[in-house]
Amino acid sequence: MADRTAAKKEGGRPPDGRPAYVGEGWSPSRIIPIDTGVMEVPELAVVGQPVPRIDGAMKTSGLQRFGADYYMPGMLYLKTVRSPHPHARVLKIDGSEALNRPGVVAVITATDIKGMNRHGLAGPNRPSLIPVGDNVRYIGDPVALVAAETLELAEEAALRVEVVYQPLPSVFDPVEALKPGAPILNYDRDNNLVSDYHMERGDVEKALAGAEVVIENTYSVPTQEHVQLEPEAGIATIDPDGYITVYAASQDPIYILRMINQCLGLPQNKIRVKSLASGGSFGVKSHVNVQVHLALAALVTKRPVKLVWTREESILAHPKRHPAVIRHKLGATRDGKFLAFDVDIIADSGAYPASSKWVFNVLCNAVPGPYDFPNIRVQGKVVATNNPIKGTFRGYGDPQGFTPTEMSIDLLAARLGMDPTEIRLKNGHTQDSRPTQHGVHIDHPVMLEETVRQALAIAGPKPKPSRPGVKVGRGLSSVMPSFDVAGGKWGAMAGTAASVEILPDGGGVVRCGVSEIGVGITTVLAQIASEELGIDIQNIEIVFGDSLISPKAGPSVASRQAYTAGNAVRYACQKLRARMIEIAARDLGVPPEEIWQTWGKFVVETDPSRNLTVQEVALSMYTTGVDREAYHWFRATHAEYGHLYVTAIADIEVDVETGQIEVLQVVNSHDTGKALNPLNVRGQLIGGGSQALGWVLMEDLRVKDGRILTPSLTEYLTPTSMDIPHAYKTVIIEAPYPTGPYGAKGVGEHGMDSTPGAIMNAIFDATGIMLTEWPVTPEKMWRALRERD
Amino acid sequence: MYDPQTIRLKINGVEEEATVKPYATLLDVLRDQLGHIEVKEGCAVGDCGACAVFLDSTPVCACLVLARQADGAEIITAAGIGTPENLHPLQEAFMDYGGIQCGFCTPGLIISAKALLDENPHPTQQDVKVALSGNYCRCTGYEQVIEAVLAAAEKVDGRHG
Amino acid sequence: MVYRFEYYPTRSIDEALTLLAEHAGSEVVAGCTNTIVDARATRKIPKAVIDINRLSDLRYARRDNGTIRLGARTTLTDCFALPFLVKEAPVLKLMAAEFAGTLIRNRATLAGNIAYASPAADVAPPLLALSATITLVSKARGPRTLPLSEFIVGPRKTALAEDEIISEVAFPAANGEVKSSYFKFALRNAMAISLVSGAVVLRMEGNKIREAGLALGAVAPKPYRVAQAEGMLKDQIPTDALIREVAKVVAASTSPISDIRASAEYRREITEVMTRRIVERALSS
Repeated sequence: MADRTAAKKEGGRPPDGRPAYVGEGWSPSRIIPIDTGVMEVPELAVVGQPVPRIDGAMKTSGLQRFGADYYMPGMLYLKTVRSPHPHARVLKIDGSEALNRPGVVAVITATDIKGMNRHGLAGPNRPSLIPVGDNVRYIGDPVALVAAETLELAEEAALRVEVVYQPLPSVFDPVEALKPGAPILNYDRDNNLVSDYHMERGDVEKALAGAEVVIENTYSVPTQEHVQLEPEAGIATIDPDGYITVYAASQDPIYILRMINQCLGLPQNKIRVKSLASGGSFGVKSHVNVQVHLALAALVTKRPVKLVWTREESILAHPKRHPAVIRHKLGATRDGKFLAFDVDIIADSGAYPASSKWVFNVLCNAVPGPYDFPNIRVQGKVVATNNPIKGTFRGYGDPQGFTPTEMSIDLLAARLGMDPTEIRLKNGHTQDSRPTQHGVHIDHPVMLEETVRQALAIAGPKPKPSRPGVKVGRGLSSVMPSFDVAGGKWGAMAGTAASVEILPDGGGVVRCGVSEIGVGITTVLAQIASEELGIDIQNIEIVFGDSLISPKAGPSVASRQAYTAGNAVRYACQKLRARMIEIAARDLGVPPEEIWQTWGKFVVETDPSRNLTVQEVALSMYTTGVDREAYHWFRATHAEYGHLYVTAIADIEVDVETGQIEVLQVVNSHDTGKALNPLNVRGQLIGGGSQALGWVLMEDLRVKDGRILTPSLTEYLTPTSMDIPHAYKTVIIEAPYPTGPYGAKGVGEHGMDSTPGAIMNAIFDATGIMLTEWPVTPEKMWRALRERD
Repeated sequence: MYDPQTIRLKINGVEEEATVKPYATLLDVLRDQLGHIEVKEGCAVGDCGACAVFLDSTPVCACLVLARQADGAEIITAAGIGTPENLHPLQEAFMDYGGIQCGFCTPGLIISAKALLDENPHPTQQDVKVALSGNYCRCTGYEQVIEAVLAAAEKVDGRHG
Repeated sequence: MVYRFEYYPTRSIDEALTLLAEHAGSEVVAGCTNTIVDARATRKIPKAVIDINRLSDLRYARRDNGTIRLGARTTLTDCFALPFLVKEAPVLKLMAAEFAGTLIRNRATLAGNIAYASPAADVAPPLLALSATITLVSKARGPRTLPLSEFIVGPRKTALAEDEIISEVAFPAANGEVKSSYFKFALRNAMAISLVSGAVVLRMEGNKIREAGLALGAVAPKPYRVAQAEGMLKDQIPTDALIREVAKVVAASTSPISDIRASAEYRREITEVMTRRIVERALSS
């Protein structure tokens, strides 16, 4: 069946009611289309436009419901009882005093759990509630739930659940945790090693010995707290026949469903997970948070239940970014050619393995960045401790792996008297590069140099100091993040499906199991469906995140869904469209090859006055018994991961007397393939850049002996509107990615991956001091300046 | 002890009443008792601004107002500025300029931004930053929000409503 | 969270005072910006709150002959939104502009921040530099006025008796040219607790400083005026060298703590640097 789709519009953009100033291709990013000859991108009407969020009206009026915004008749409020100890055996849990209080309906413990009572992203490695006889492993580890008629009653009752602990020796340093005699946290082995990594090519020791210059440095890469605006929250309902529905934000409804099944022993066909729109996540809601507890409480009480974490609880309990100590030995020739890179990493997994195995893999894979190293060795371990859990956070190991490499390269450049840009281009990937990391397939065409050139061009000249007593610095950072393409052999990411339905009145429904964590994927999918089916975006409904209704899309992580779900939706739409063309042809009495699709219509090519609207075709399909729905299961076959290049430039000003750092400008130049929605792409680059700025300059999660000393937003500081750079600039390089929808790659994480190195290098440029630990608070900068002088 | 009492509020132009404990916050009452879920709780201690509402024409954090203090007051929430059927140009600008990502902070931002435009119809970029200084946004990095507010200022002439 | 207290609205100062005298362990509230936070953290839960939020009698800012009088309900926003106050005390505007963020400023009162008496509180230093007084009133004894410097006694401790309410803060109006400046040094540019704060108010006569008020916050158990430094500036036409000396003396006067935000050493250093800068800035304004 010939696929005759011109997707041409009559008379310009489809009418969509948006104001004209948006409709004229307005976008404040500089968009650079590059014709590399590998793919022809069709002329597009909706995809590639700065289409406003389809959920924007709901969000801007506040009427969008998040997990805490649901109320059900007869609902019980839950409160979690948590360990005050970093490591202790649970000897006794006595809820009788709490239960005696009026309005308290249940005190729920692990004895109420009939399943395996284990969940975890990298395997069943963590109990949902710690049973008597087992150990709590971090401050905040849940041991019981209280269910009461009001939140106030639940909170008070929770204080009266008596838990008797026997404190155990704790360990807070990964190095100590590996020594014999350390208390063991892992369930499945008698040591604290969660995962290790070894990658080697060439002979790194010999090459280092022969190198004309060697940079040695050790970096203490810190953790980071997400501070997603919506604390974890949700409700669960239970039908009389035991069917449980859980409503809470997550990043993968099927994963949550499987974990409820695994923990509680409930059959999967009796569980429905609605992964609600999330008030931010940045990875943290890819872990189980309230969902198993909600399902359990619904099961025990047989009533609807609600669980809302406080902000302090969110900070206390949920996993954070993996910190790591990273040692570098970087050897090069005198004219700046990299010869060898020997890297040793030890990272903290915190109390449970969670997703550490995979994050650590990404972290170690990220170390070589976008550069060729003829000899390289990266080895490392991620280790359990009684610290807060470490898990999924935007970048997923990339920021931790890339940033020190970018810093060591600037040290090398300085040692050699070379320009930092020049040394990067001398060693960076070209079209002929071979991958140096494990399992990495470099996606061609290679756009590294283009990202660098465009970043420099838009950055303009380095600013002059604004006043006496300040020094200006410019730093550059080039990275090669990976994004998932549903091409892996196993795991939740190995495949993304979508279905598209044309309604009898010509509207469209797209069903896809993505989660909307705020990046705008639902808008992008609606754009794609609008484009492919030739119908207005307002007439398209996106059904997402529902384990029962929306096809499995895998987790909304790894900057993957624009690519994987975008492809799934696109192909499903094309299948549906082909069917619609057949029906149009049938009804118009011509062969299908003579039907052209234009906006809202199917026309006979040789006589356009003979046509049928989308509505007419859809109704015809309905009345003549033709399937109005098409489904597509997408997996990439060319690679397990995609890669792209991002270059960031940061301009900063350091007040040498106080150590205060002001960020003047952040540039991100991104190898996007195709910006499906330029507003979204820019938003992701700037948002990620802001999170990077926070990580590097002010986000200081202090933990001592397992206790978080910065437990609320008053102590843990993230950037306010008064802290952002004077200017953000973004460049979107559109060198189409052949297997991506319209050439698109991913983008969500990448501002966070690229920007930290740029800021640290800017500090080096301004002061001559390469700090090896951050956040660079004013005092830290001041001390470094004083020590040097 | 701690007897609940009835308070009267005019919320988005509609008279409402609720029976509230002496220590209840306006945030809890608006959400849990009066169904105004457009007022979001991000921290409950005034650090994040997600719960911003107009209280007698002044933007404040609802989490730091005792419900009883608001007895007889006029409250405007983001849903009172505009709803999907009838968005305010400021809200449209948030949509058009990419000022919305996850949307959790958005209703609070709308209140602070509206307060600015009511008082200063031609704000500078710095004015906008100051007006939003009590509102966290973790998704956007504020940039496209600021652009939205500046764009809205061009369209709105500073009248109330 | 898990806290309870009674609530009493008031319609007059007298009613507030009566309630306060009747209910031991109660707290007077206006903006509640500290009360609710502390109660939630179960740091401090009053038995009852007595709400002066609607007392129009305490909401004023006026000049009364040679004295500026600010009612207890004057908010941080008022410090830059009331043209009268901006004109009379620009140093308060400078402090308010950096205080927390817009939403908090709309509710927080000068009196509330003073009464809370956190060593790092921002409101007191500029008022001290203005030689402010504070008026307290009780049912039993009526009003009394004392210098603000005597009112704040130590960390979270003031001279406020259990049955007293702050009714007013006052300071002498400018009589001639006044130059002032202010700094707040913190780990981010809004919504942050001060590492160090400072205010300088210079009553000028041509190039000469007739009288100096210089006060610091967050570097001692309570905010305070640096009398020695003020004495060095008095009746001087300041030179760069003098300003540097003054800054050194001011830094030496501090007794800061080391905490998760900063070390004592750094706080002292910032005190010296920023004092120098604000004196220079004030003089060149």
